[in-house]
This record gives sequence, structure tokens and C-alpha cells, in this order.
Amino acid sequence: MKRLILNFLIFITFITYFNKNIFAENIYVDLELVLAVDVSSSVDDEEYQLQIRGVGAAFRHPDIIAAIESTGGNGIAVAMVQWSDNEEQALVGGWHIIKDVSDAAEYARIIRRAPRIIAGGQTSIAGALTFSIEQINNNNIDSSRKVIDISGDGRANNGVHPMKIRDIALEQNITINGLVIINEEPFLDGYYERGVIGGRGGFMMIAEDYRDYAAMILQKLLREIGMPVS
Amino acid sequence: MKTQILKLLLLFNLIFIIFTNAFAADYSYVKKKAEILKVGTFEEKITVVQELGGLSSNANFIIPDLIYSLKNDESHDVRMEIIRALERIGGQANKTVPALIEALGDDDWQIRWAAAGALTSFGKKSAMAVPELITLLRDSNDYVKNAAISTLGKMGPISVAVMMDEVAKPLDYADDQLYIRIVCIRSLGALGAKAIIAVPMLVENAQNDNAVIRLESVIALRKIGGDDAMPGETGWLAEPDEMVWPKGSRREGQFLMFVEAKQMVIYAIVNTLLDSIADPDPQVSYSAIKGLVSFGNKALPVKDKLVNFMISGTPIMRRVAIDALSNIGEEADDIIPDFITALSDFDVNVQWAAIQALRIKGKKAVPELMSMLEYDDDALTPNILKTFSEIGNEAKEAIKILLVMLQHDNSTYRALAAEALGEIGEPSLLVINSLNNLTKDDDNNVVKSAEWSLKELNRIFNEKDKNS
Repeated sequence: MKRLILNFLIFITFITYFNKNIFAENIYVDLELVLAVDVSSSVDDEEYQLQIRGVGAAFRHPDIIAAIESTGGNGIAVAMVQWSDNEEQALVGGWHIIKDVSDAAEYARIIRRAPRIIAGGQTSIAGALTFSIEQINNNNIDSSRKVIDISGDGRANNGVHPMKIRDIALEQNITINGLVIINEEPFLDGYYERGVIGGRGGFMMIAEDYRDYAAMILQKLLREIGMPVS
Repeated sequence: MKTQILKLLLLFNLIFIIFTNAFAADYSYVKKKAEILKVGTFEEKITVVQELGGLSSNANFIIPDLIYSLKNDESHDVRMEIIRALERIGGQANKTVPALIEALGDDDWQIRWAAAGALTSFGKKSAMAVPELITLLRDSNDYVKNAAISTLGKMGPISVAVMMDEVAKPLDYADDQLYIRIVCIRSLGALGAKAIIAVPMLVENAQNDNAVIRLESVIALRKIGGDDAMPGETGWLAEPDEMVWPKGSRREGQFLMFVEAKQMVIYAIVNTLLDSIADPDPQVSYSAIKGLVSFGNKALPVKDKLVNFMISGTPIMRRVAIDALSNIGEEADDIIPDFITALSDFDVNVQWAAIQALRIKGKKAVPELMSMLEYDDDALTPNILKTFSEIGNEAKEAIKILLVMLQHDNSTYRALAAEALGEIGEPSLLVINSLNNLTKDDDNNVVKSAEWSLKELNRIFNEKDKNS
């Protein structure tokens, strides 16, 4: 009986050790990318649809697929975050590793069908950035480039100033890029430039309204994924 | 009965005691923190101010202490933090707004910038800051200028008149008057229907000699006209000091009168946009077309012009012309073939706009799309298949031809056709069997598409089964 228990304990120890090693080993990709999408009250359902359909369409574009395939087989890891006020963020469908056309098509399908998890709320860019940083830090994925791609149509009116969290992200070598939709606040680009974006190669693009979103996110993703590792 | 009343009184007393004690605890705790503001180290002060800001309106009574430190603390960082905390606490406007106004005149541009931004939290109560904010439009620092105009733009009707005054000033009034005029026009546009009173002035500016002024005016007009707010429907329209629709507009007869008035304003805006399509500056012309997107079938008089832009304009013009045409409605059904032609445009964004235009047309576009599939065109076929996916269930007429496409030599077509069948969502035996066969395809993308569609159809089938 003692022998049986001993064998059982050795077996459990072995399995635990083995599993631990599997889970401890992170997946390596060329880029970790969080697409943080604004779903605050200023974004109506049609505008939400324009955003997710735009992202879905971008992941079907041959240039995006070519950029992903040029990562030397490592691929990229992408996650979508919906955000509004300081307490309202959600990771939509988890992290996805995209290495080829079939992974990209799969991701496009998931995003296009992604439900709006957060119905509205105020605008906390800091909350969105904090949550996105947490997702990057806890995803069991390693990469040489980590990017938060935040899009929004308004200044923060909730939570701490985004500058504070931006600086935390930069300390962790996370780049923040912005896609600013200026349909409601025409000077929002200045606010993002000063207080939101930053990091290695950080940049911002401007969309006049949500109808321009698809065209802009495509250009932006091309620049983010296609940027050579230096 | 007496016992019940006694119990009730006891309960109230208990609640009162708990409440007052809790408040007292909070009060003394916060007051202690305020002491640190005066005597603490730099780090302590920063931490305390951040903590107080986090308490929001619960830290209301500490505002005088914060204002004192804003005026007297020597550290730039502490003062910046205090402004942010005041913005978050957002109370005692009669004390906070004057303090922020004082900060608008600070030598440090970051303090001016933060104070201008913080005033947005006080809404109409920050009206007394309007003259100082106007002065800041001429600040030497661009960030400060932007923050000032942004705050003015959020104040609503209070600042409309001030901005109109600036727009009316001649361009030689000051060195930077062109800049001031442009930012004011832009802010009037951002106010939407609240700036409806500025429409005649903007129509005039849309004909200015300066192309930038014309461009900004066209953009502002389309934003004002595109704002759906109607008299009596939103809070601000019923505010006593508003300048747009008098309070009486809520009464039935007058409401109709104001609806008509708004329609007249929209008519003036649309006419200006129609005229501006012919503007010699391509950006103005583009903006005018983009503006028409918001007005649905009011763009009908320029349908032919829009079709011309869709065929022969620059890529960005072609895209926005498709957007405008797709919003015209039934009267533009005859241009479905043109939308389909645009699916093979060399610009991917034009293709996407065409896919979306055809999605809006839905079922009506399906027969034409099906007939175009026969041409087996590399540029066209994938986008037709994507369009079926976008149209979804209304494209069920195309199932038969999609089943044929599942056998195509081109693996991309097979994958897209499989996906479209999943999006259409008709789980017939024939569709399911055909997709099952495709799960043995050599191409991984095709297999994944087929598997996804089967999963989707299975879900739909189970839902239907459950409901029946």
C-alpha cells in the first residue's frame, strides 16, 4: 500500500513539474498588439459596427497577411479590448496568434462577430491603457515589440490623466499608437499627441469620422505590423 | 401601532448615527491629508493630491485647501496635480472656477494648459472664464490654444456668440486672426445643432477667397446639419439661457414651427454643400461630398455628379462618393451595377466602400452580384463573395451558386464561398454535406473556413430546433 502511495505521489510530482514547464514557456511572436476600441456612450451601435467590420476587413487584406507572413514564422499576437469608463474594460475573445492567411481569416471572423460587451459609459483612456498593459503582461507571450493601438473620439472625462499610465507603459517598453476620430472633438489629435501616444516609433492617425475608420485602421496596422525589427 | 412607530424611530436614529460617524471619520481623515499639503515633502504632497482627486465629490470640503496650495505652492508638479484633482472633484464652482481663471494667466504654459482643460468639468458654471479663454486663443503655446478652444467648444451656447464675434472680425484684425477664425469655425461645427445660429455666417464663409476657410466652413456646416438634436428632445435645448430654441418650442404648435425652421436650415446647408462640390480646391470638394453622406436622399440632385466622381475621381473621392450614393436610398438603386464595378477598383478602400454600399442594398443587389460571378474575374470574384458574407441571410438566393464555387480551382474562392454560406446561415442538408466535404480540402484556409461555417450552421440549427 505504501509503495502504491509513493508511486502515486511521484507520478503527481512528475505531472505537476511537467505541466509547469509547459505553461512556464512563453510563446514568442514578432509583435504583441492590443486593439483598444472605444465603446463609450459617444459611440453608437452603427459606429461600433464600422469599427469591428473595419478591423475584420483589415485582417483579410493581402498586404496585412504579407506583413504577418514576413515575420519569419513567428507571427503576431492580437487581442481586442473594448473600453469606456475607469471600471469598464473587456478583453474580446482572448489573444490570437496569427501566422498566416487562415489564422488571419479566422481572427477576422471572430472580430466581425464580436458583440459589444460594454454598452456605454464615460471615457477613461487611463483605464483602457491600464487594462491593456495588464493583458500584455499576463498573456504568456513574449515579443520584441509590444503595442497598444488605442482608438477613441473623446478626451478622458473619467479616471486619472492618461499621461500617467502612458509613462508607465513606456517604462515597460510598450508603445502606444493612437487612432483619433475627430467627429465630435476637432482638436482631439493635439490631446492624444501630448498625453496619450508615445514610445518607440509611436504615432497617431486621424479619422474624420467612423466611416473613415476602416481605411485608417488598415494603414495603421500595416505600419504597426510591417515595421521592421531594429 | 406605537411600538411600530418606536421601532421606526430607532431604526432612523441608528442609520443617522452610522451615517454621521462615517462622515466624521471621512472628514477628519481628509482634513489630516490637507495638513500634509502644507507641510509635507514633495512626494507626500503629490500622493495626497492624487488621493484627494480620487475621492471625487467626497473631497468637496477640501477644495479651499487645494486652492490655497494651487496659489502658493512652489512646485510646478504639485500645482499641476492640484488642477487635475480640482477637475476630478468638480465641486464648489464659485470657488474653483475663479482659481482656475487665475491659473489661466500663469507664466508656466503647462499650468495654463491644465487649467484650460480642467474648466470643461464645470460646464456652464465656467462661463465667467470665456473672456480669458478667448485671450488664450492667442497664446504663444499651441497646446494652450487647443485646450482653450476645446473648452470653449464644450460650453455650448454661452460660447457660440463669442466665437461668432471672432469669425466676424476681418483677417487683418490681428496677425493670427486667420488661425483664430479657423479654430472658431471648427469649434462651432463641433457644437452641432447648438451652433445653428451661426449657419448664415458659415454659409458666407464657405464662399470665402481663402480655401482653408471654405474647407473649415463646409466641415462645420455638415456637422451642424448632421446633428439630429431637435427642439425639446435634449436637455440643453430646454436650458433657460440657451440661444437656439426658446423654451416655448416644446409646445405643440411651436414645436412644428421649429421643425420647419430646422428643415429650412438644412436646406440652406445642403445647397451650400451642393455648390461646394464644384469648388476648385479638391479638399473642399471632397468635404462637400462627405457632408452629403449625412443628408441621405437630399443628395439626389447631384446623383449624376456623384456617379462621375465614383468613376473618375481620386481614390478618396471615389470612396466618399460611394458613401454618399449608398445613403440616398431607393432612388439610387439603379447604380447597383456601378457599385459592383467598384468592387474591382484598384484601391482597397474603394472596394470596401462598395462592399458596404451593396450590404446596405441587401437583397436587391444579390441577382446582379450572382450574374457577375459568371465572369470569374480575379479582381471582382473575391469581393463579390465577401459581399455575400456581409449581406448575410438576405443573400440566401445565392446559395446555389456558392455551392458551385466550393468546387472552384482557386482555394481563396473556395474559402470565401464556404464562409459566405456560414454567414447566410441556412443549415440545409445540401449545404452541410458540401461543407463537410470541404473539411478534407488540401488548403488549410479552406478547411478552417468550412469548419467555422459548419459550427455556425450547427448553432443556428440548434437554436431553431430549440425554438420549435
